[in-house]
Amino acid sequence: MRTDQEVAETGVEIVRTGELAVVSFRAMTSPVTLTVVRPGPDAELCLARAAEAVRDVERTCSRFDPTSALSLANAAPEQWHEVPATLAAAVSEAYRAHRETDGLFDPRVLDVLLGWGYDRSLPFVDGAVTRDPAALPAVTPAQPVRAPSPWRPEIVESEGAWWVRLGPQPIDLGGIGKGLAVRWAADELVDAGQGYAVDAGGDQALGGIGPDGPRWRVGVEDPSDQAELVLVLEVTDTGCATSSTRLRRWRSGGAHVHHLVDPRTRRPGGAGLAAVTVLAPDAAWSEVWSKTLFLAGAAEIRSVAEDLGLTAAWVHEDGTVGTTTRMDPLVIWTARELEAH
Amino acid sequence: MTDSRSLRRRATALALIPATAGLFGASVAWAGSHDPTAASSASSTPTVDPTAAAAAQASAAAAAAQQAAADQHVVELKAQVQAAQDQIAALQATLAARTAAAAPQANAAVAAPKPAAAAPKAAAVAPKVAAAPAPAPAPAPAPAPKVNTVTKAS
Repeated sequence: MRTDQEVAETGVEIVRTGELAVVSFRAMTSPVTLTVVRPGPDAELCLARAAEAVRDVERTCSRFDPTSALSLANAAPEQWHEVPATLAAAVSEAYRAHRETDGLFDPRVLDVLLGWGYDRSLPFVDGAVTRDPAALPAVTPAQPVRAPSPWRPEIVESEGAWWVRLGPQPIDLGGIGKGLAVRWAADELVDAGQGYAVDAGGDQALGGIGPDGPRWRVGVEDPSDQAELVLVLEVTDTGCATSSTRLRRWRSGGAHVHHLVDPRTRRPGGAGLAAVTVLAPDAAWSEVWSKTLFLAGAAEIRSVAEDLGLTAAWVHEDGTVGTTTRMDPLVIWTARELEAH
Repeated sequence: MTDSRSLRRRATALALIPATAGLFGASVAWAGSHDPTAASSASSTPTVDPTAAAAAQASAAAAAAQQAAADQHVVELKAQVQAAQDQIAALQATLAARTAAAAPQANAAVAAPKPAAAAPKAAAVAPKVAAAPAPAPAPAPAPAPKVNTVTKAS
């Protein structure tokens, strides 16, 4: 199979293999891959726009870049800030997610993450990360479940400009920001060929035909061994996201913590779970639902997922794999027997 | 000296004469009593010895008693064999039932370690259960098909 590599006029490096055109780069601390199947004449331009959509989200919504629009807004969250449309759209979508999940999706848990030492992009890939416990507060004791106070950011468009006031606290748009980047990149690839995929570190949008058939075959990573899969799904025209504690976990103040914070307890959430995967028509909402479903924990996840009508799969800490009835028809392979419904 | 010796020889010879005669007579008497011809001709009619008959009767009675005792022993042994066969049949039925009951537990043991730990206990009680055909091991999962993407921790 012949592989050609070219740098297009748009500055995007495209690798062509058989019937595929692929662009790969890093953004938002994750590897990003854009794929077009049987590319059409505008594929190159579409790929360039898709890559730019991802980079735009990284520029505006990263909390690790002190010059990003989000960082500037977080520095004085109760003031009005003129922001790029991308950040305004991200805050708007995060607000919607906050409402529709009854507060389980809450970008204000940033203060908890900062308290645990996640104040910069940490080298999780290199293995165990330990933040200096002397400089950090210990993990707070479990608090009784309480309804989080509603978050009400304000977003205004005035004369073509976007203004945002976040509220009393700074926010983290990491998860939903990546999902939105995938959504907006996928929007650029819809007409690029007969099929497309956007993959940003496991958050995905898949459409049209796949490289080997009418659908895309998606492996679900085994959270205990990233080289292995627990499920293989056959899907198309869907978003897909996985929330897992495999990667972003560390020790703080002598305690094990991870990035999936339960806003009700301000503690690491999802007791008994290792990973949750959700398919939804939109990539950003796949991300929102995978994160909030994770917080249900092992004991409640099935009932919560079925009640919400989600297409979901999860892996318990003991390796048991569960799926919802909506997920079942999409599963074409399992590494082990699924837990009973 | 010579005379005394002669006298002594003469006296010894005279003393040996009756002994020799007695020995001869005894030999003749022995031969006569052991002459088969003389015996048969002397008594051709059989005679019954009352002592021997009684002994024979006693012997026959003893033999009959022994036979009866042996027969009784055989009967008892047969009864024991029959009882043992009945017991074996009952045990086989019990073991068959236990084997049938143990098979699903063994299958469950593939997925659940705790029931598997209990299996040797049952085998110690009834070895034949352990000899029952072991459940087929769970087939190894087929390798994962080729995938286009992987959703994972991010």
